[in-house]
Amino acid sequence: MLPSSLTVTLAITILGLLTVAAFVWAWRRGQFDRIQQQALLPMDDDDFNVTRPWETASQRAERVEEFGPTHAAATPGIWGGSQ
Amino acid sequence: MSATLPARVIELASPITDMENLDIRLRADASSRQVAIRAFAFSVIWLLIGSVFGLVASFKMHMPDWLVSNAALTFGRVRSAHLNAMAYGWASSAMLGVSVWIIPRLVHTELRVPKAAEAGLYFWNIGMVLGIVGILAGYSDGLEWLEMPRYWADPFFVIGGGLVGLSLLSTIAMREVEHLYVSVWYVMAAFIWFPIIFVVGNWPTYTGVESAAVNWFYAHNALGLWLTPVCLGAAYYFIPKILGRPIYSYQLSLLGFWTLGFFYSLNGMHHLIGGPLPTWMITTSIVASGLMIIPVMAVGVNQHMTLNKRFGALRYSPTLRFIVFGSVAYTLVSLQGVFMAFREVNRLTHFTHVTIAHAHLGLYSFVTMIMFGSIYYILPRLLGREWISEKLISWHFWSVAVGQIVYLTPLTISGMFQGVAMGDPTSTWEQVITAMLPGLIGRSVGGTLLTIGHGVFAYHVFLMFRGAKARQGLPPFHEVAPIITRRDKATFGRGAAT
Repeated sequence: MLPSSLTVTLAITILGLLTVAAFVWAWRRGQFDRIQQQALLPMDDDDFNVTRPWETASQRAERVEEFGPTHAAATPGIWGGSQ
Repeated sequence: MSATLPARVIELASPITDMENLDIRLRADASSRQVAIRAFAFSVIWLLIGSVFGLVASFKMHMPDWLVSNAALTFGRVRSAHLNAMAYGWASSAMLGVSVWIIPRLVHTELRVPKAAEAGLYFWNIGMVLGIVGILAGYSDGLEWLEMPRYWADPFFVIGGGLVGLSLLSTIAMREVEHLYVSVWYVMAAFIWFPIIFVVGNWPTYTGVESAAVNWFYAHNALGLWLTPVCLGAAYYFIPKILGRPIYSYQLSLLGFWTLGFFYSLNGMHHLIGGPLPTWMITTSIVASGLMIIPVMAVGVNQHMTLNKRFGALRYSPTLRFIVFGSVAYTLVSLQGVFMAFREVNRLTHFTHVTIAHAHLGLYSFVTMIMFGSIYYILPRLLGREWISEKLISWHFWSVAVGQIVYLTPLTISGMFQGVAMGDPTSTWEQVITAMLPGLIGRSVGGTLLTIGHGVFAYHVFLMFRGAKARQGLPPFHEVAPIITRRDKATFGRGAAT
């Protein structure tokens, strides 16, 4: 019975131990600190300040309140093209 | 351009100005540009090749005498060629492109050793050519998801994936930010998990029951620990970017990632329910499959709540439309998979076309749709020009969306009838086949729609590449001409973010 399950058991154990090790490393290195701010990592300035046409008036007001004035058209190049 | 970054960003990312931030992003994009362009070009070629093989295989299911005189075109070879071309050629090549593009952006540095990543991409695709030719020539390894010849093709995948992984992991190691965004966790983990499962799955010494066990360990994890994490990482990057708001709950996103890592690798043995394996292995796998509800609901709730009350955005952004479709499919296919892992359900669905429909809900509706959405976002930024035709994007989306419904619904239903008929000792094999026939024909109709959609997409990508000489000074994509309805374009103008 053991031989048929040995390889899979070992492989799953290795994967599981790797995940545990990564979790411990992340915990010790503070990767779970300041959680809310980490959510902003992919965001750029203009991600917040460009008005979205699908947003309601209240959602636009919320955006202005949270991130400051908005503008309808992004400045050319700001997303990575010309500058 | 506004004068300062939002306060919360400054607090996290050290006191850099928005110009510095822009400079970081431009350097990151430039460093990965060549690799990503080539990856997307390869992926689209494999998409077309895989689609043709898939369509031929589908028609053969209800037209068994079609194309039988040439051994290379027999069902066993064509079907394997389809699976491998789509999973490793299309999806994986696209994932390599998406990974090398988003990781430098998220860790605020340039892609390290890009030449290694580029060489890795070539190795990967040489392996693909050798693998598909080998399968068609009759040199299949005969293992599900591992059909490509072990000694000719597989070393190229190990070297290729390793080189791209080396480049990505070096980039993450040299990052300019302390924290790893959840997308980075997903992509990084995928490039660590995949070589392990691939080498274990292809090890040449297994025989008998152990071979079957290792085969399903690999095949199930290829979806869950390779394709899934990169696609979820992409979704967690693009949805907030397009909506202009962070994800609903970052805690939930981390919960989803870590529970995927802890539970998923145990799942594969539920494919062997009823097989000659120790009961504890099967039962452990079924329990772990049930636990997958945690990461699946974490992702599903998080993405739904991020989009909540902003569903109108789907009309504007092709990226969002494809990615949200894929995200919903992830929730559906995962919950379906949980139930199919239970013995009572598995008894009905095992060895039926329900499994085929389930696999396509995962690999197509989830993985492929997210890759389409990612390419719609990235390619204009790589080439410095906007997508050429709104109509082509719409035709692409609706062709593949309707195609999936036509493909999956009858196949799932007829697969259920097939399971019932096979479980009835009074049913003849002819009755079983007759019960399946509507689903098989529906699959061919749906597959035809999917192939048409792929043709439209490939043509659009070709048009992009044909005029692809990057024009300096031209701002890409959504500043130029957002995908926006004509009525809204008149009222809103040209500045919408997509």
